[in-house]
Amino acid sequence: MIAALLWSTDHKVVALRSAVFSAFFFMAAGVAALVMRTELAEPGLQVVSREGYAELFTMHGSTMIFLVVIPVALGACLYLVPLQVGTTQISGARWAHGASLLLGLGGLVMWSGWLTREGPGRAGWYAYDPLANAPETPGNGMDLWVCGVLLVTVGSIVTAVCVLATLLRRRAPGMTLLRLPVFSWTALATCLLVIFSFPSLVVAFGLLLADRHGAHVLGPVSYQHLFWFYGHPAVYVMFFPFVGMVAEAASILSGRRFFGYRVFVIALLGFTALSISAWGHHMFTTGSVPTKLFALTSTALIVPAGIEYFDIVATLWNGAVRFGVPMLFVFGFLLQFVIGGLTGIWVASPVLDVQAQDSYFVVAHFHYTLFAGSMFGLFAGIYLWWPKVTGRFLSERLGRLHFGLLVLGTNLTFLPQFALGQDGMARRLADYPRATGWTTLNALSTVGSFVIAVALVVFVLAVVRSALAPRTAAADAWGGGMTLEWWTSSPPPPHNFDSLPPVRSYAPLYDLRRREEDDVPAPEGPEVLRA
Amino acid sequence: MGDTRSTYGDLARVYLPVALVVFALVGMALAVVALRFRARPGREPSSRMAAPRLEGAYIALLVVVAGALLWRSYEAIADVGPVAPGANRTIAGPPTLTIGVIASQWNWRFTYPGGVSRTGDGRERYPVLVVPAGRDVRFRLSSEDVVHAFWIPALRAKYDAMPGYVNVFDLQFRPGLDYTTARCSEFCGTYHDQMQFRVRVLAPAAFDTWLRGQATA
Repeated sequence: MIAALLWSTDHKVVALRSAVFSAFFFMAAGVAALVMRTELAEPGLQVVSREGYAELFTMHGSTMIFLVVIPVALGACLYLVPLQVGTTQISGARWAHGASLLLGLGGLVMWSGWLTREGPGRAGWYAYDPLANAPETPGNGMDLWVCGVLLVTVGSIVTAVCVLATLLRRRAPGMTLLRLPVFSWTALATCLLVIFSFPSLVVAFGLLLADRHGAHVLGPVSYQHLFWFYGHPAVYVMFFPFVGMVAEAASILSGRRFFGYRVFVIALLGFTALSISAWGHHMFTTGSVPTKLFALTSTALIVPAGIEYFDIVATLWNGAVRFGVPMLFVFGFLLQFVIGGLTGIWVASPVLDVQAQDSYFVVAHFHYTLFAGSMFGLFAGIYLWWPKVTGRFLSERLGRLHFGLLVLGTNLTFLPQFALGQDGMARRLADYPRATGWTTLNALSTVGSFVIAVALVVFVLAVVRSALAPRTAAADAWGGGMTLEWWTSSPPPPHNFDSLPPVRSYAPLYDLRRREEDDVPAPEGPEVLRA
Repeated sequence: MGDTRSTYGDLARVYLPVALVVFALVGMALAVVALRFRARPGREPSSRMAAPRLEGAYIALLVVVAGALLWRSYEAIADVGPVAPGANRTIAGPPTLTIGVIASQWNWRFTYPGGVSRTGDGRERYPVLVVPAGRDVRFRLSSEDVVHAFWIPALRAKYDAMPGYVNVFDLQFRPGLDYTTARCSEFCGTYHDQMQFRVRVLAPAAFDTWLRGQATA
């Protein structure tokens, strides 16, 4: 079974393998975060040295982005897209298989830097030139970190190509592009972003590696352009699939087809276009970008983001909403991500950004989008599709406890950081003077981070308990599935489908239920059968 | 021109209420969903899939809000003056005083007209930026090694110091603000947290006396 997990090319196994890798890296990054929060709980250096602190925040940030959130986002696409479009396998299955191994390999290469004399990467996750260059950050550990990120990123591009090809070439008969499920549309937008922007990181880190070994190519401004041309779209790669999960959970558990589907799709494509035009807002303080242009493209994101929120809330509106654990996480996502979104509009304005940039305000902002937002969206998705993937349900009681603790811990950790940043606490400080009066808020934040850790332990307990439970999930586990993955058994067979229903809309199973209720005869044409 | 603190405050007073209203609207909508649209026996979910007119009006509203915020942001940019590389910078009126700022790991050097230069020891004795109160001071900011950032939180002012680039900007200093958190805010290596500086704001006459005293010393 272990061999199968490591060497199967079934897209479901490949996706689960990536998820297992990411889960381990997530735990490691979480431990790094706890050590940092412990160090910051009071002034003075008690736990780690300054060098150690730089290693911790670099490894925490880069692990979470390169090894956890992006691979999980793409892994979810890899698992769900073939099922949602009604096909047996991902396009380029062996490529996707190889990409998942690159994730594990690249992650190990990044973390192996701890074994070197100088330590691992320690120039921050965006590794600005010239700090990340060899004279300032010498040692093989930093080189290993750069190489590891390169391996993982190449893997991400390959995965995105496979998913996109599946979306374009392997849809079931009848499934036009405008009948793709909502999650699959978010996957499509995600893949476009990956394919368009991730090569820029490969170039930036490739040149960084060359410069570290004697070339003189990069400059501080050109590096930042290359990096953020990747870095900003990457934010949406870490967002779109989780919006898709929230949208699917909202639809299934309110008994309604997703509201405003076409407008949502158009908004998503607009979102994609704008998000590759907004990178310069990370560079407002450099004095080397046209601030008004990037304020325009960044502030304009209000429109597609506002539409997506509207459509998700409108799907719940007038529904029959079931408050199972997935719905709790939908609510948590909607209420918390909006804080990240609104502070995002705040930092899109150059004059306001100047105060927030590189301060704890920005740390709080992106943790509200990535943790309070994307991670809650991910948990909505995990609780929703767990019975599909495993045939077993996650415990409702443990799930509620997990949710409650996670809401408490998340807000306790990150809300105080807005105030700290506004008051002048820069990010990446190993220490701060007692006279600043930041001790109380920092201590609260530290307590919050440990509450998050407890919440995640509860989740692990729920997973363990589920593994011991019998398989009881029906094909349509929640009794309200809209899309094709709820047509096949839970878990799906290796070939995914024994048969397919007709696809006449973006909610084919809903259509079937309505037809049965209305006693309308089935439309002409046989069911599509695949062996 | 250089009154960054007031410009920031005025703009924040536009953005903050908008943000709070949006948050409240999302919260209220979700409260209604939880109270009114909860699944119960006999409750039939609506089968409606779109509301084109409502959506159109809503999108128009989003565009108006985004446009209004952007318009106010542009005004604020004009007030502060864009931070721009030295050559591109045009400011009405001659500057009365230009201070050069050189950032380096992990220290600051401030240079004044007449060859006056002030720095710290990069450890406990932080460098002190001495400035006159109430009038525009022009800064020319650069770095000797890696990217640093010159941040005075009390003034809501922050600009990057980059090797090979000079950033030029104007600031106005008011006495009585808390300047003790002024520092480097871009991670610049091991002692980044120690790369602080202090600001001493003098009355214009006292500043001129101080500068003359430094020049002759």
